[in-house]
Amino acid sequence: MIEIKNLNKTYGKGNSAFTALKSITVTLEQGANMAILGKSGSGKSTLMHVIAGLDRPTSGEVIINNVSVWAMPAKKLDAFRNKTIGFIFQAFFLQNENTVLENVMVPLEIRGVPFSKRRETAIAALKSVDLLDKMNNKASDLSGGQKQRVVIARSIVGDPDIIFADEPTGNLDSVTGGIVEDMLFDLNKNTKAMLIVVTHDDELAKRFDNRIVLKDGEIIEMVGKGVTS
Amino acid sequence: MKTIDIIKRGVKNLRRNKSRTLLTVSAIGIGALTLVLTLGVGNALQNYINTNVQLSSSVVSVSKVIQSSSPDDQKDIVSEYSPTKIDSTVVQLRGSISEVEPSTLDDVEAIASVDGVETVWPDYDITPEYVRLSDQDTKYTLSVINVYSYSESSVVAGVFPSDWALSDIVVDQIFAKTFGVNELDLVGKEIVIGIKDANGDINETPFTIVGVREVVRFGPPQQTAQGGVFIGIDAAAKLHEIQTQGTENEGKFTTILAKVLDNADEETVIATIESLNDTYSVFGTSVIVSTLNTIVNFITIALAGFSGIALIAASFGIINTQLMSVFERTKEIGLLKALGMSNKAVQRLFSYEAISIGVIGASVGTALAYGVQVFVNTYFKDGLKDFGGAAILISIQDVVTVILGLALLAWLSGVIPARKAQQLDPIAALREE
Repeated sequence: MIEIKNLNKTYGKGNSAFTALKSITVTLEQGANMAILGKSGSGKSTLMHVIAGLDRPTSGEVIINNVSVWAMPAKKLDAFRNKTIGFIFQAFFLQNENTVLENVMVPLEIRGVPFSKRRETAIAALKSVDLLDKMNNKASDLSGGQKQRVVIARSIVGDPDIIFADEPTGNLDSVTGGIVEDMLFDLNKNTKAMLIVVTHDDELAKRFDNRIVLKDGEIIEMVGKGVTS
Repeated sequence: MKTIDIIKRGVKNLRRNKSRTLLTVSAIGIGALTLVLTLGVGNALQNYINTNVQLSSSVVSVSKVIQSSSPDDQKDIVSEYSPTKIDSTVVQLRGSISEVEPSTLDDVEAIASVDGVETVWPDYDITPEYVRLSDQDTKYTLSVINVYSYSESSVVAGVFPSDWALSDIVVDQIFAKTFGVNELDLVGKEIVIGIKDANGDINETPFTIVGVREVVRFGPPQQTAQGGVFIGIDAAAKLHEIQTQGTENEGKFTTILAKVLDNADEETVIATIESLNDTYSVFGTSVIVSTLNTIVNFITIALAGFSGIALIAASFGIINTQLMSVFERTKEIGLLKALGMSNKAVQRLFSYEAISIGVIGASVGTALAYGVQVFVNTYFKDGLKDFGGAAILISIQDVVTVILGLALLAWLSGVIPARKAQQLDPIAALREE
């Protein structure tokens, strides 16, 4: 379960201060999926970063599975992020000179998992995104859709509780984008990991059970059973 | 994150930027090469000093120094009159102007009683007028009379006695040609040394040649040839007596020489002799050796300092390389941080990379230095025979010091880039497209 209480985020100080998030309060049920919808500059990415423990809020609280994220010391927060959260980025952020397998293993490498176990888990993750045959290819040799599937494998390899995806299909054509979308929803169903996707795409957002719409840093619409304020 | 994984990641990155890594490693390597070679040459010099100077018999010299001043102490008034000083002479003793009271045979006896002293004799200052063969009339100049009963010297004919008879004399090789006699025939011939006594009369003392000494000449050829002879202590005492009898110098000596037993510690003997009399100033080969070692050390450190400057320049290379690396890998660092890599681990990643460059550079430099050592010591083998057989002696200790030192230097150079990487905001890093 994710509880967000009165979240504010301001960049800068004084006259040049810019408020990215204003009094955001929302609760998402355990195992639910949710889309954060909004136009460019609406604060949707910032909200995701704050929930995911990447960007410290100016005030307010984020509680994930009864743990207050921003009350943790930095080191603990790093470990928390590694264990609890999976990330999918629009721009992939794969290390092109490394193999697909190496890329997928990174979260486990950071966690300090022994190599053989790391490899085993990563192979299982690649199997679930149907890319096992590419595991020894360099990441740079893959197509966009394949790259995003590698990123999905990397996001689930650490068995996270929540997967955050920032415009996961933004760089893909509609067909491959559709495949990736289906894959994400399957994951949400099969692994019980919560799925939170940031997007400006209404069509994509409609496929989610829950969604919130952001404008100028404030929630203007909230849809779905799993989401309450 | 496990240390081994951090190291692997660092090494992988160094390999990815091969040419850049290679250049930085070369810079460190060249610095390390010069540093290790400098230390190696210093070692060889020290080794030469210790084996060659220390192995010869130890003879200490004792003088009664009343007052000593270094050449730097300029006096602008003359000394006050003091009746006790009337007997003293001012001499230059080992670089400093010293007022020396003459020693007597009493001092010789006192020093002879010291434990560890084998023989004691005054440093006889004999000024010969001439030398000639008994059966020839032509007189030749004699530049020096050595009292040399404490060490072996190589001869081309006859022997160099260890136990000198009163009439024994060893002449330099040059006298064979001077007298026009074959070196082998010279042995057994009678030779006469002329000395002026107090009245200005020439006194002739006969000697029998027992050996012809081989003279190895160093330096450029000399315009005037000089020759010396060696006689025993008793013979020297006799010549000195002839020269000084009836003068105020009779029985007085500036310096007394004492041969230290081979199994005795020279420094202990020096300390014991100095404790006999406040004015005794003792000087031995151990002092020479330690002085020479100090000089060699000083030169070595000075030269090493220049390599140090090269290494500091090379360390800027590390800083530059690592800063570029941080800049290039902004996204990678951002991703790793987002995925939970701690700031500390990021900092360690970059520190290890910097240290790797330092250690690899130091190892390459050391390996090259070993190559140079083998080459120089083999190729110039003949020339180095008289120089302890080696111009470069690299010690494991120096190598370890250099590698550890460079690892430290590299680590320090990596501090700023590592901190920059550590402080990178993952969101800002990931936002960059």
